[in-house]
Amino acid sequence: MDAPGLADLWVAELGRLVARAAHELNNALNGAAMNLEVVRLRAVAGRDAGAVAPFAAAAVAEQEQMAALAGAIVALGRTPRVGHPADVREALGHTATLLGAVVRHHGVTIDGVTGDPAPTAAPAHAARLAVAWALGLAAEAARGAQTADAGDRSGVVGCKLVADGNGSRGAALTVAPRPAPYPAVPDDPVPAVLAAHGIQAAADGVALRLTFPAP
Amino acid sequence: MPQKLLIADDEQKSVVPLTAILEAEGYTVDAAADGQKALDMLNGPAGQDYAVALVDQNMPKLDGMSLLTELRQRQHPVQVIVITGAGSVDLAVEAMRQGAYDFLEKPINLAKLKALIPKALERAQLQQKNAELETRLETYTKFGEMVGQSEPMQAIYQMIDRVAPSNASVLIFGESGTGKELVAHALHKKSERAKGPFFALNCAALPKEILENELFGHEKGAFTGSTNEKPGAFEMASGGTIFLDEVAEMSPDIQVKLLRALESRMVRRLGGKKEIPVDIRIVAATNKNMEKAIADGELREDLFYRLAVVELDLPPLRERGGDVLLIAKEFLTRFAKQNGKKLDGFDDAARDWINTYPWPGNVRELKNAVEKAVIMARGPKVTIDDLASRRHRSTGEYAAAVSVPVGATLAEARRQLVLKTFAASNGDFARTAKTVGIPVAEVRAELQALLERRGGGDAGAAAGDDGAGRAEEGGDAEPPPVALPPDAEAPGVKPAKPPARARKGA
Repeated sequence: MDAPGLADLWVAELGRLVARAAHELNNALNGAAMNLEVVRLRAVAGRDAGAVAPFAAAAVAEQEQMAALAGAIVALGRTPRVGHPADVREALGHTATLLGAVVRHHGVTIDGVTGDPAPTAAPAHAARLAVAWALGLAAEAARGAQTADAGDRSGVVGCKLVADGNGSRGAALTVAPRPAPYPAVPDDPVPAVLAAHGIQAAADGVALRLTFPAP
Repeated sequence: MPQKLLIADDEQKSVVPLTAILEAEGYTVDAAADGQKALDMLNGPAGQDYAVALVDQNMPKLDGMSLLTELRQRQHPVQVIVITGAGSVDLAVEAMRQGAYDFLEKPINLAKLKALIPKALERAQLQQKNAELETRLETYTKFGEMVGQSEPMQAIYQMIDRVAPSNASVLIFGESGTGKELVAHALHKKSERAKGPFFALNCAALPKEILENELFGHEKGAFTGSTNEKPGAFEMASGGTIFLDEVAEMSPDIQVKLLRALESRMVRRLGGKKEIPVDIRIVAATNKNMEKAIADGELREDLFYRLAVVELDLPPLRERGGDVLLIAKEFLTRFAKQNGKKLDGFDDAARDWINTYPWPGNVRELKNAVEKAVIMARGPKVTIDDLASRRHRSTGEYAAAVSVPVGATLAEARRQLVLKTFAASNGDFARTAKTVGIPVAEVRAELQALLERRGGGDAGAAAGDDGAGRAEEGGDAEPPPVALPPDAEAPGVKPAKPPARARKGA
């Protein structure tokens, strides 16, 4: 049997992300529906608007959350545009939106998802796969550490994206879970496939560093 | 009855509006932001106030299913409705298997939820009522470790309640296996000495020297091999109660020492010189006729009066009416649990036999019989074959029981007695007649009537010589059809062996 290729690995990774985010979509939908029901119950003549407004605002916020999640799924699933280099910053933002909504239930937040656009010559699916794979492992490490500690300490996945301004050296993304260190790079086919597309993954015991080829 | 609802969910954006919606429905609602907080609230002082918990599956610290498992392990009565944003058949099945009341997917169908909550509340109330009734029933049928609601036992319980708070010595009379030690234990537990030790010694089980040593202790070097000093039961149980079983079996010189200890409240160890003060209550027991024991010089009269300040007569099991089945069921539950078996009580024949067998070994014999039955049982119910031992069968006690329901006529009772006796006698007309105390002709008439009722009256349709056992196996009080020989009225004549065809058809 042939080793899985980039398309196979990315479809599988995206499938996992979407499946986990579906729960959050339902949560947001539920929140919107509940808040709208309270608005419906309370929006009667003579009722203090203050008893209604917070629920209306919450319903809107939930709908925005739904839109953000749906937008991230659409963006990550979209076919790359021909002639446009992939952007690591964009992949990081969408992945963090989906994954962050899920892992917050386990007390884990994803931090440092900021920065300038970071174009790369790597195929868009390879860049997306690299980011989702790295963040997924880091989130599990942060969650595991939090559970093992059994305390109230929150887990954090710290991200640091350095985009090369003139584009000659490519972008670098460092992912560091806290309080646990980054686990060793697992023996799975992803690093080799990424390497075949110019993306290098290296763990130093604390963080994972991904380097993307310059466009 | 509890009416409060608990929402366990970390999604505040859902919890706040859901709380508002349910409060608008008239419920009192609390919320917990994670599974552990929910568990703490449910196990807290006001935990029993929650009748229904709406539990999100995906929560920090303790997820919904783990919370449900914890609650069921602790037998918390709250009805749990599991809610999840990522519904799957597996999760729903697992939730229901773990004892969830229902399973809902997000977004929550509010109409369904509003219909579900009153039903869950109803179930919670029903379970609470059941638990209350069970507790009340238990209070009525149990007393300490004793089980029984019969009149003689109610009298014993009242006596224990009256006597326990005093310091008076108690002498318990009762046949072997009636639970004398349980009574002693109950006396101790209900006394002000309950926090002190309870020390039980069987005076018949120990040789004289060892019993003396056990009771009074010894000093170092008191006898060969006594390398250390050892306090006796009187010292160790000081502040508590000593139970002396089979006290009449004690040797005369120990009786003297015991009497002295009871009178002076001081003991002296073997080989010791100093008197040690003890604060002790004595509860003794015997299955002997004490008057005879005193007359025969086996028991000192002064010791008897010292021990028997209060006398308590424990009835044998055969005089405790419905307690027998109650105790049997209690043992069945206990041993089924110990042996990991699911048994649905006793079948009719076993129940009849339990109720009618005289249980000469009392509760101890019943306990052993039920333990063996639980181990042997293959079906969902314990049968008479599981219960009765080889001894029961060989002595005829297996088939000897006659169960006559209240409301039966004398004729019916007589008929059952005759038929059962006939079966137990292995089909011996003369022996049956002699045992029951009626003419052989009347035995024959009862059997003839039985055959006619079965639509036969056919003297050729016959049973075998194993009729007694088979009648029991079927739970039927009537023996199988028998052939009535023409000379059956002659003493000692047994029914003819039936032909094979008839035996098969019987």
